[in-house]
Amino acid sequence: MNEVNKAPCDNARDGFIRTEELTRVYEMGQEKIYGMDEVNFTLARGDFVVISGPSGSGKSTLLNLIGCIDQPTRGEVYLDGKPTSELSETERAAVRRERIGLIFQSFNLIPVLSAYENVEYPLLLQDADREKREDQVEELLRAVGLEEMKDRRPGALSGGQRQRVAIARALVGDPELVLADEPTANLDSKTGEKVMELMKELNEEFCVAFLVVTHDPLVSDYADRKIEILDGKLEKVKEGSK
Amino acid sequence: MWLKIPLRNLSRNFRRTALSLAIIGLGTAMTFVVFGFVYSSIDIIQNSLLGRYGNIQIARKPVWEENAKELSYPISSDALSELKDMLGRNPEVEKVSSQISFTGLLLSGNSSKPVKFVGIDTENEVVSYGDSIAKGEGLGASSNNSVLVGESLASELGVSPGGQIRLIVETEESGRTFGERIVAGLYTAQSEEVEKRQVYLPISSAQELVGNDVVGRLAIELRNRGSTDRVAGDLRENKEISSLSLGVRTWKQLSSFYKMLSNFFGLIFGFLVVVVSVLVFFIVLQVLTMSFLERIREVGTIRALGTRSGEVFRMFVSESFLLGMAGAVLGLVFGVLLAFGFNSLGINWTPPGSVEPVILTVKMGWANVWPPVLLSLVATVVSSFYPAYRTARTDIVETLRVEE
Repeated sequence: MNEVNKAPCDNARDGFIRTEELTRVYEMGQEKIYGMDEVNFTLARGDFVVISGPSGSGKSTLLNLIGCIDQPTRGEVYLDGKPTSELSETERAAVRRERIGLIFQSFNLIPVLSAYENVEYPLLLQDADREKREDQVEELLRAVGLEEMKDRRPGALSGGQRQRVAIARALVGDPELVLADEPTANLDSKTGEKVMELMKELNEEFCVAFLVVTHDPLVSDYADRKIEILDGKLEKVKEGSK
Repeated sequence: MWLKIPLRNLSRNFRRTALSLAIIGLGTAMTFVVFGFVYSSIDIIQNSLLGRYGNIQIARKPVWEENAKELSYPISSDALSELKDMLGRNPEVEKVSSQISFTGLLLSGNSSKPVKFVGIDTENEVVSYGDSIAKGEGLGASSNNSVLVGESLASELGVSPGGQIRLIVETEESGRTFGERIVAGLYTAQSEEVEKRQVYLPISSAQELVGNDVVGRLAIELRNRGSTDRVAGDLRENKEISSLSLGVRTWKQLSSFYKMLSNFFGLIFGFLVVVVSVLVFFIVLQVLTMSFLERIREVGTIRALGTRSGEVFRMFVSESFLLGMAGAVLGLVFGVLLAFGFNSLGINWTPPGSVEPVILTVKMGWANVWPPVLLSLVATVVSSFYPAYRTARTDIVETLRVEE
């Protein structure tokens, strides 16, 4: 991890991500569906924010828009004050590669690569040298408790182990923000708790902002801030308990 | 990693990869064998034509016209020695031999046949007087009183080696001339027409018959067959040759049969290349499309992680390149085995107009290795372009929604 992220997180509320009137409309024939409807939202470095809401409320849409995976129909996502809609496809890929870590509900590991290679993948995208790759991958696999299983492919790992590989992969590129979509949905409650503790630990240790979408009340307990979303609109914002 | 992922993806679905390899391999093997067979046939024909014409000929241009009388367009003995000196200094020239031909009658007992007498330079042979001597001996330095007759003609006239025959030649210059010669040997040729019509004799003996020391043409054998066109080009530019109003032709120009054959083989080549390419292209296209679409979610994942669509495209194309290479190598191994099998059968065939059968073989060399490899590789890689492009450009959000 680089020095910036390793430094104690003073949690300066700098709002490095800000959305303004963020709107995403899906057109299904004549019908228009608002996946996101004029959402204003700010995220600071080191934040651990949990977004909850019913299915189809727009949680994943918000993650996709903030993660430069999708583009808004109207409104804007500002990254360090710069509008992301002005970025080219290549620049958006660079943002995802350099600044964002992703954790998926179904882990989304590359099945032909070992746990080690899956974690190494984002560093290869960053053209990191071999030594840096080895150091960081080993460190993160140790952090998620999988150093003994680094040569196993995803098919030979349990759900919890896979999700831990996915977390290591999300963190290995020194991201400023990790977007996690239902990270505990495919895990039993005990494993889910372990995974959340790990994420929280990494959040505090490396000052990485986490934006976690979940239905799981257990996950909400770890949040600094909880946001509820309904029909593409932010409904409630609460400060967290942990 | 950019090679590791494609390589591992190939081993992921063994049946699909095996099917692709089988199609590519079959295409490669088929092309290798057919090309090898055609190259081998062309080789036989080229050697035969070189034996008939030499690499290059020099003569007065009308000599090469149909039914031309060589004696009407002679090269004088002075011009001949000048030319021989000039050609002797050319390091690319192996041998030069002079030749003259004229028509006449060959008589044995009560039988007679119209023939073409071909006077050849027996000591410096470029143009062979037959692919082989079937009976008796060839013509040598001491054969001034001898002739070589085709086996088919000998059978029609009832002559054999050691037998005597009579010759009648009529020319505008010296009128009708008679001669008697001994049959030194019987030759066989690929062409029955040649065997029935051409009678070879030493050039001095031929000149004696026509009462003139002129020659009709010069045949040149080069050290390297591949330099024929270049040397012919140089000779055309040569001042001595132009000042004597002589023309220069290569064996390819002299053989209209070869031109037709080349075009025919070109057509077969083209047809085969198109058929194999289309087959490989469409089958591999289908297999790769399925294979890439099955991995659409993975594509979504790696693109969400920051992989550019161009890199995804490159990854898929690398996969098809590896597939194409592996298929081509397997195909070559299969093709070589097929060729060995075919060659060991020793199948022979007598071409129309020929008296001697030729053994059909599949030539194995670099010339028929690279075309099938290139063909399979190009067809496979090109077939991956569209599915790779489509998969790499698919919307990330859509691909992530695809169920595993």
